Amino acid sequence: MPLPDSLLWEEWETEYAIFNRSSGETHLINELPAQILRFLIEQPDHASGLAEKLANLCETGNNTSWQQQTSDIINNLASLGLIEVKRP
Amino acid sequence: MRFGELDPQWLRQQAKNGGISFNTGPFRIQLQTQIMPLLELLTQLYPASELVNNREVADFHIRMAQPRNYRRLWRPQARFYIDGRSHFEPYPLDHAFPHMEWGLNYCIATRAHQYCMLHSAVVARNGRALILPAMPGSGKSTLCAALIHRGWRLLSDEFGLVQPGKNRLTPLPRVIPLKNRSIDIIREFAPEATLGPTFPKTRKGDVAHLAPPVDAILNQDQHPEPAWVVFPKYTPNASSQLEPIPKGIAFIRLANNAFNYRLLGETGYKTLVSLIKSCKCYSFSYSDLESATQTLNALVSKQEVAS
Repeated sequence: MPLPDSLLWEEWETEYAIFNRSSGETHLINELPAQILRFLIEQPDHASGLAEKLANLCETGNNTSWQQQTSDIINNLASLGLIEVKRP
Repeated sequence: MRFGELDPQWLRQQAKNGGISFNTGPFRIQLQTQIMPLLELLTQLYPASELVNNREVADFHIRMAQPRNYRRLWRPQARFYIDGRSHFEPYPLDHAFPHMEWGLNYCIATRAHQYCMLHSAVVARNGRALILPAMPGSGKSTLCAALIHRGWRLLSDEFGLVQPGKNRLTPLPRVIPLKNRSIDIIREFAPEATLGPTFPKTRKGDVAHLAPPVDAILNQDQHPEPAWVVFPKYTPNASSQLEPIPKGIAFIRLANNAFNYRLLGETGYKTLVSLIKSCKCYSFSYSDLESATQTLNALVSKQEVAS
């Protein structure tokens, strides 16, 4: 989970320029990963919980394909160093 | 007094002995040299630059000298020294001027971290700046040279200097090195332009330096607000086409283009966020310079109508 004040955000139309104070890296992400970051800044969560919250927000079905897509985004955010994933 | 008003003999003596000091944009240069053709070209291309007091602190202490080796007897060379040290291989003596210009660019790019430094040309009109980032194949120097002969004020051909916390562009008006075909293109486009001699077969091909217009030097303490970021791309036979691009994309492209974005960290991020927020961002493909300058001039007219 990212620390709330470790990230600087700037919203540009449909994209977000995010500066990670911990790494000094800048990232351009779109709405879905940005929303996952917002959820995680509020509180840590499991991938399944995030998929459900995101599905509710986007008014779409929380099916297997959606969960896989959410999981891929989470992995991408982790590989960018924007979040930390704890495996069971 | 300005270079153009000084007695050349006196200037030569000063340059040989204690050196001469002058301002280029926000930087004070102290130059010591015995290479007289270099000094003559400097005064010819920067006639409006003002000689300043040698006793004040300079940002860059430069010496251009001939290495004292046997090679000087049959192939004389010029070497660039900064703070008494040389970091570069010498150039042929008759290429001393491009060597000095290139060396000074290197010094600015590696030291002036009080600025967020974009690798861009910057021109201004009516107090608003147009930033033209340098991307491979952009033709930014040629386009910049054309714009300053169609009503735009030159801020810089090489550095977009943005002072963190102040969303303004700091001018650094210096010569524009035109390369290869661009030399004749600009001679034809702007016959009134002052161009130095052509230096053949430099590392970047044939190079001739276009003098900064006098008004650019006289107004180098006026810092316009950024208004447009235009990513130019020279495309043979293309008509001039200006396409808006998303600010997020422009932001990332500009961050990648800056000399010291990563080094500045959070300061660089905040500086570029402010800059992009205040600008309209476009990609621009062009081939004909007359049409290109007309298209970019129309940006100013549009903004005037809007305001």
